[in-house]
Amino acid sequence: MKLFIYYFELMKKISFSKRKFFTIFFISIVCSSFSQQRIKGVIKDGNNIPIPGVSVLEKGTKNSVVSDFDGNYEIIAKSSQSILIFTFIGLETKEVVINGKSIINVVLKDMLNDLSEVVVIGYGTQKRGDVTSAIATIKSKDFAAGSVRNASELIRGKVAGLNISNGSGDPSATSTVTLRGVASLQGNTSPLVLINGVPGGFDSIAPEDIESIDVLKDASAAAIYGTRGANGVILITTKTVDRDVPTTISYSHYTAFSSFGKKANFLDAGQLRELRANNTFPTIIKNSLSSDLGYDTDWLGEISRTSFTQNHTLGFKGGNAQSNYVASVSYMDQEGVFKGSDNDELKISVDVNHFMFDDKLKVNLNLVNGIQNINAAFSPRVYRQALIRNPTDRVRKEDGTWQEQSIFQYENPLALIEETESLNQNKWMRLSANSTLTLLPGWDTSLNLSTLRNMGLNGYAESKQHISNTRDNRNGYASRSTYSNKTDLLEFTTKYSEKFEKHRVSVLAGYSYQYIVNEGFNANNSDFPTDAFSYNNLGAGRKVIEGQKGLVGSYKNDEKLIGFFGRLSYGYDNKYNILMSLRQEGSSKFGDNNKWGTFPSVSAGWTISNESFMKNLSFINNLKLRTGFGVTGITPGASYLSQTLYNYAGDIYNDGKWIQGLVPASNPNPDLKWEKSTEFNIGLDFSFINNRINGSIDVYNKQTKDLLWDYSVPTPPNLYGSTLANVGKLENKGIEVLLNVNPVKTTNFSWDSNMTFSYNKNKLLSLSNDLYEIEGDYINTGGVGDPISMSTHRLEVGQSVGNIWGLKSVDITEGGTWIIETKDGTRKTLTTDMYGDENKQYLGNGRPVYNVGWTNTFKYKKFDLSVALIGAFDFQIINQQRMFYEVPKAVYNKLDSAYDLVYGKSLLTYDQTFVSYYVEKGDYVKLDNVTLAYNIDIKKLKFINSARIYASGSNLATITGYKGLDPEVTSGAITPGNDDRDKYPTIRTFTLGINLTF
Amino acid sequence: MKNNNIIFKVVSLSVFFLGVGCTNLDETLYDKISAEDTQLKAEDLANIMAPAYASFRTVYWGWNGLFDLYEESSDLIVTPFRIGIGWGDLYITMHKHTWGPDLGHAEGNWDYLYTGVNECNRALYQVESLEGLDSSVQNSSIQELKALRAIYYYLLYDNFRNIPIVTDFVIPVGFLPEQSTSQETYNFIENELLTALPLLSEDNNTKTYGRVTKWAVKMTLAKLYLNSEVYLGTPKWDKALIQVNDIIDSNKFELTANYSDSFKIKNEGSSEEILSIPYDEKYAGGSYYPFKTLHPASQATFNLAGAPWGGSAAIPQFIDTYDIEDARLKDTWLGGLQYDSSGNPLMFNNVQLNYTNYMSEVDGTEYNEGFRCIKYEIGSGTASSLSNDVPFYRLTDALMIKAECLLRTGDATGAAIIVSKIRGRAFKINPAKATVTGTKLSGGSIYKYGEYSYGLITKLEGGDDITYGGFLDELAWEFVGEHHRKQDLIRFGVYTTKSWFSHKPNGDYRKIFPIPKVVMETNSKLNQNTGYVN
Repeated sequence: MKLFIYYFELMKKISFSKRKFFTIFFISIVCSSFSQQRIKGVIKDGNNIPIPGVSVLEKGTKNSVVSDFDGNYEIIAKSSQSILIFTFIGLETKEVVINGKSIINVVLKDMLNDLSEVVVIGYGTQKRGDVTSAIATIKSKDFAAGSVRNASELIRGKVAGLNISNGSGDPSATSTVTLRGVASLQGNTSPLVLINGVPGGFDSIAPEDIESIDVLKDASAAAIYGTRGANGVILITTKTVDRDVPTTISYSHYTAFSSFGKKANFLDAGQLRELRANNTFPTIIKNSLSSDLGYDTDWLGEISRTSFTQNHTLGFKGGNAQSNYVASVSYMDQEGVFKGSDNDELKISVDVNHFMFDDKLKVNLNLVNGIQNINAAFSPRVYRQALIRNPTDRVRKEDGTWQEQSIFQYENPLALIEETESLNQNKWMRLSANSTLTLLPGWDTSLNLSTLRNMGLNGYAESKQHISNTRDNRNGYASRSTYSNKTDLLEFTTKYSEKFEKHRVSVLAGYSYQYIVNEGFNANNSDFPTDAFSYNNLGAGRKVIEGQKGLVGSYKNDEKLIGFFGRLSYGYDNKYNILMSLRQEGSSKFGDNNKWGTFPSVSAGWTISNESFMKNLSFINNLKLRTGFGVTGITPGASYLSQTLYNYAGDIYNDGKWIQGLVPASNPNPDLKWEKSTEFNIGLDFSFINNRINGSIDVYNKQTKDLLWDYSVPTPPNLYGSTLANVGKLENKGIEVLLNVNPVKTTNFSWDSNMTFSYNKNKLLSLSNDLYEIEGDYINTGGVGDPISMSTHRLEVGQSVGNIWGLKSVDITEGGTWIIETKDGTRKTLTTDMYGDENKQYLGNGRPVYNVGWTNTFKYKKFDLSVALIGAFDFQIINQQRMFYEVPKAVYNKLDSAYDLVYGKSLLTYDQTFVSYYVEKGDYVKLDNVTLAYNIDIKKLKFINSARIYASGSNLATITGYKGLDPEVTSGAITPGNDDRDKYPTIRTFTLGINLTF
Repeated sequence: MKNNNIIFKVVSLSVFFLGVGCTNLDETLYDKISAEDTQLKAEDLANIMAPAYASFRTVYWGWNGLFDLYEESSDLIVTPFRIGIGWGDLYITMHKHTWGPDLGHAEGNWDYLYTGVNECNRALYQVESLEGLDSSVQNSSIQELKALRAIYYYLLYDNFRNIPIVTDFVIPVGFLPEQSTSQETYNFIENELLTALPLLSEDNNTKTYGRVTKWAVKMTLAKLYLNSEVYLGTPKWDKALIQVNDIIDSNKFELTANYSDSFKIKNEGSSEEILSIPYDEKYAGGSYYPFKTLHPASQATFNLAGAPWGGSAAIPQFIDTYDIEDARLKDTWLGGLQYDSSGNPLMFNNVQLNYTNYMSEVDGTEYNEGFRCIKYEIGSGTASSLSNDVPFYRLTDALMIKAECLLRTGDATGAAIIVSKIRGRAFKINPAKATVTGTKLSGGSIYKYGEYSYGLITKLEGGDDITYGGFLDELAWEFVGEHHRKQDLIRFGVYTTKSWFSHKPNGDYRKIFPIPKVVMETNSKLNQNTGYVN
C-alpha cells in the first residue's frame, strides 16, 4: 500500500507529460514484482561511525541506492529473498539476505590487514593470509592527501624499505624510487612499475585513479618478472568495478600555493658594500669581492615567485553486473616557483568491463591518455647565474635592454628566462585489452594485448635579446625535436585454482612477448630574420643554408623481451602455504652466448596462529612466519651493446674534399647478459588485540653478481679504453619493520599510527674476474666540476657503495690554508700537489642506513587529521653549495657564511676545493605532510552523497643539522649524497581541496 | 554452439600468437651498421683510412692534448689559476713539474696517441684484406698507414719513452702488451719509417695535403736522429742532417713571405708546410686555442661568436727576451690596451682591458695578467672551432734542424747564415737586426731564468751558462706554440735545471711523463717510469 501512496505523491510533483511515462513504469513494477519489499537501515563502520556513500545493491539486478550522510539508506527490493550487497572502498564488502526483514543495520569492517584482503602478486592475486613473500599493500584510503605531483608520493614513507625521494622543486621532476638499497652500479636501480600488469611509470596516470599499490619487495615475489625484477616490482591497480554500481559522479579539486622551503643566503647589496669597506682582508680576498655597481637587486627574487597550482578531477562510474565502467578526467596546472618552469597535465582514463556468455568471458578494456605541456624556459643554469650574480648590479639598463657583463660564464638570469621560449609536449596512450575465459569454475585463461605509445614534440627558441645573440652572435636560435616510443605487449596466462578439503592449489602458466621501438628526430637552426617565428619556422634561419653540420639528427632502435613463466601455489588448512615460480626469459640486448636466463623462486609460510596450540591465546589474531628465496635480474641499459657496430664519423681532408671515416662504435661483447640477484628473505606477520597492533618484520640478504661495469681495458691493445662486461658482486642486507597501532578507539575519537622502519647496508664483494681486473680493487667516481675537478666517491671491494672519498680537513692555518690529516694521522698544510689518493681517506657514505616513516591519523567526529613524518639517519652529504660559494676567494657572489671564520679561527684564503669541511652529517626528520579534513554535513543537499574539504601542508619543517637547503638528496646509485649546487630547491606547499560525490 | 565457436577462436588465436610470437630475439639495426654484416669494398679505402688520420686532430687539439704537453710544462706558456674565473688545477702541476701518474695530460695524450695507433692497426687489417684493390695502391696505402703509425709512436716515445708496441688489430682475449726498451722502440720507429720511404709519394700537392709523404717521413726521421742523444745517449747529428738536406734540396717547399702566413685560416697550400693536420670549422672541429687564452671581453675585438674562457698566457720572462722590432712578437702575442673591432676602447668593469706583461703567481693571477697567444689567425665570427690547419712539420723546422746540426758539428757560421735568413722575415723593418753571428748562437741564452713573483725575479739564475743558448732562444721565438719547447729544453739541458715564474726544478726524471694511472691499473705488465710512484 505504501507503494501506491508513494506513486500518488510523486504524480503530484511532476508535470503531465512525464506522468504518462511514470504511470507505465509504475504499472510495470507492480505487475512484475508483487513480492517487493522496502528495506531501510543504518550503515556504520567498526568505530560505530555512520558511513555516507555506501553502495547498496540488490544482487543480480541494477537496483541500487547510496547511503546518505548519516549512513541511512532505503531500498525497495524486488524480492523479499534477495541479497543486498553493501560496498565501500577500503571496507569489507558485506552480503545480507533480506529474508523478509524491513530493517537491516549493517556494520562494515575495516579491510586493513584483514587476512581476506586481496593482494596483487603479479599475474594474479592472493588472499593476504596465503601470501608467503614480502609484499606491502597500500589502499587508496591510506594515500597521502594534498597536492601530489606524482603517484609515487602517495605512498612515501608508508612502505618499509621503499625510498621515494623528490629532492627537487621542479614541477616536472619525477621521484627517484629505490627498494632495498641499490642492486646495480650502472644499470637501472628503480623498481619495475606495472599499471594493471602493463609496464608504465608513476607519472603516466592520475593519482586519483589509483585504487591500490602493491609492492613486491623480495625476490621470491618478484622472480616471476625475471630480468626486470631485481629492483622489486610495484603493481598499481586502478579503480575498476566488476559488479552493479550506482551511477555516480565525483569531483575533486585542490588549489595549492608553493614557495621555497629554504633559500641559500647569498650576500645582498648591503652586505657586499659592508664587506668591501672592511680593510682588514688580505689582498686576494679584497680583490675577489665584486665591485659595487651602485644598484640593489635580489636576483633570486627576480627569477622566482609564489607559485599556484590547481587540480580538477571528475570521476564517473556506473553500469550493471554485465557491463560497467569507470572513467575519469583529471587536469592539473602547476606553476614552478622559478619563473619559466610550468607543467600542465590532462589525463583521461576509461575502464570498461563486459561479462558475456554466463560470465564465462570477461572483457576488460582500459585506456589511459595523457597530455603534458612543460615550460622549460628555466634551466639549472639560470639558478646558478642568479646565485652568483653581483647584487649591486641591475636587471636592465636605462634603455630597457638587459644588463650583461663580459665575465666568463656570467649571464643575466632573468634575461635567460624571458628571452627563451620552450614548450615540451608529451603525449601518452596506454591501451590494454584483456579477455579472460572461464571454461570451468576455477580455470581462467587470459589474453592481454596492450600497446603503449609515448610521443613528444619539443620546441625551443632563443630571441635576439638572448645572450646567444647579444654575446654569441647567433642571431636567434631555435630547435625542435620529436620522439616516439612504442611498447607492444602480448601476455597469455592460464591458471587453475581448486580447493578440496583442507587443500588449496593454484597453478599458473604463461607467455609474455614485449617489443619496444624508440625513434626520434631533431633539428635546429639559427640566424633568423625575426623573433616572431619562435621555433615554429625553422626554415627561416640562414645557418642551414650556410651548410653547417650537426643541425639535424634522427635515431631508431628496438628491443625484445620474451618470457615463459609458471607458478604453483599450495596451501594446507590455512596453516602451511608454499609458492614456487619459474621464469625463462630472453632479451635481444643479451650477447649471443647468453640469450636466455632462468629465474626460479620458492617461498613458504606458516600461520602459527592457526595452530590448535595457539587457539587459547585470543589476543593473537595472526602470527605468520614466512621465508623465501628467488633469483631476479637487471637488463643492460641500451640495445645493441653486444655487437660491433660501424659509424660514419671523423672527417678527413682527402684530395681537396672532406670525407667521412668508417669507424667501429664499440668493442664487441658476445657474453653480455643480465645482472643476477639472488635474495633470501625471512619475515614475520603479526596482529594482536583485535588487530589493534599489527605489522610485519622482514630480514633479507640480496647478492647481485655479474654486475655490469664499463671496465677500463688497456689501450693498446684495445681500440676503446672501456668495455662493458658482467663482472662484480654486490651484497645488500637489511631489516624492515612495519607497525600499525590503534591506541585510541572510541565512538567520537580514534587515533591510528603507522610506522615504517628500514635498515639497509651494502657491500661491494668483487669488481674483477680473470679478464677484467681493477688494480687496487677500487675505482674513484663521482665528481665536482671545474675549477675543483675532483672525484667525490670511491667504489672499493669490501666497502659500501656510496662511500665518500677525499681530503680530511681538520684545521686551518693562520693564513687561511687548510690543514689536512692523512690516514696515518699526519697533519699537513694543504697545497695543490697533495690532491693524490695517498692523502685522501673515507669521509662517510651518502646513502642513509636507516629510513623511517611515521603517519598518525586522528579522527574526531567529522574531522580527521593526518600527520606524516619521514626521516633518514646515518649518512653524509657533500654540500656543494658551500664548497663552491662559501669560499671568499671565489669572485662571483657567494654565501654570506663565506666570511665566517673557518673552525672559528681564520678566514679561508685557499681556492675552492673539496675537503671534508663540506661533508656534513645528513640525519633529518621531516614533517612531510599534515592534512586536516572535515566531512561536511550534507543532509540537506539530497543530490550530494558526500563532501569533504581539507587543508594540507607539505614539507613543512625539517629537523636537521645539515646546513644546506634540504637534507633529502636524490641519490645516484654509486654517488649518493652529492647535493648539487644547481639543484632546484625543494618547495613548501599549502593546499586547499574539496572532494564531492554525487 | 555460438559460444563455443568464439571460445575456440580466442583459444586458437592465443595459441597462434604463442607459436609465431615465438622465441626470436634478433636485434634489428636502424641507425647503425653491423660490422659482421658489412662487406668492405675498394671504394671504401679512403673511408677506412680516415679514422687513422682523424685521430691526429684529437692528438693535437684534444683536451689536455699534445699542445699542452709541449708548451704548458715549458718556460713559454702557463695556465695559472685565474681569480674569479678558475683554471689552475692540473695546469699548475704542469707548470710546477709536480705532476703524478694521475695527470690528465699524461692520460689524454696516451689515450689519443694509442687511439691513433689502434686506428692505424685496424685500417691496416682492413686494407690488407680489402678485395678488388690494385696491389700497388694497397702496398702504398699499407706503408702510408705504417708511417703514420710510426709518427704516433715517435710522439709516444718522445713523451713516455718506455711504451708497449702493438702492431696487430686482432689480438687474443686478455692479451696484455709489455713495454719495449728505449733502443727497441727507437729501432722499430726508424725501421718502419725507412721501409715506408720508397713507397710513399714525393709530391706536394692537393692530393698529398694532410697525408704522410716521403718528406713527412724524412722529417720524423730527422727529429728521431736530432734527439738521439736524449733518447739513447748517442748523438746522430749527421744522420739528421742528411734527412733535412733531402727535404730542403728537393725544392718542393719554400719559405712563405711572412711568418704569419703558415697560421692563416686558409693556410692549406702554404708552400712551407711539409705535414699538416687539417681542421675545419664545419667538418673537423676541435681547434679551440683562442678561446682558452683570451679574456671574455676580447670577444669584441675579434667578433667571436662566443665568449672565450680566459686561461693561458705567456710567461713574462719569455716576452722580455723578444727584440721589440721582431715582427714575431706582434704576430704571436696580444698585449697592452685592448680595443673592440671598431677601434673603441674595450671596457671591462669600467676599466679598459689591458693585457699586462706581468704576473702575480701561478696560484692566483688577475684576469688580465699575461700576453695572449694569437699565433693562429682568428676569424671574425669564429664560434668555438677554428679552420686553421696545424703545420705539424714546416720547412723552417727542417732549416732549423739543419742549422742546429751544423752548429753542433762545428759549423757555427753555416748555422748563423740559415738562422739569419729565417730572421729576415721577422725583421723587415730593421733588416740589420736579422743577422746573427755563430758566436751569439753558441753563447748563452738571454732568458732571465729564476723564480719570479709579482713582477720581480726573486732568485736570478740567468741563461748565460746554457750551451748554444743563443740558438735555443731562436727556437723559442720561431716555434713558440708549435709543440717544440719541451723537446728543445730537454735537448739543451734546461727543462729540469732552470727556474721560471713559479716553477723550480723538481727532478730530472720529469723529462719523461709517467705512464698514466688508469693505464697502469688496467695492464699489470707495465712498469712505471723511474721516479714516479703510483
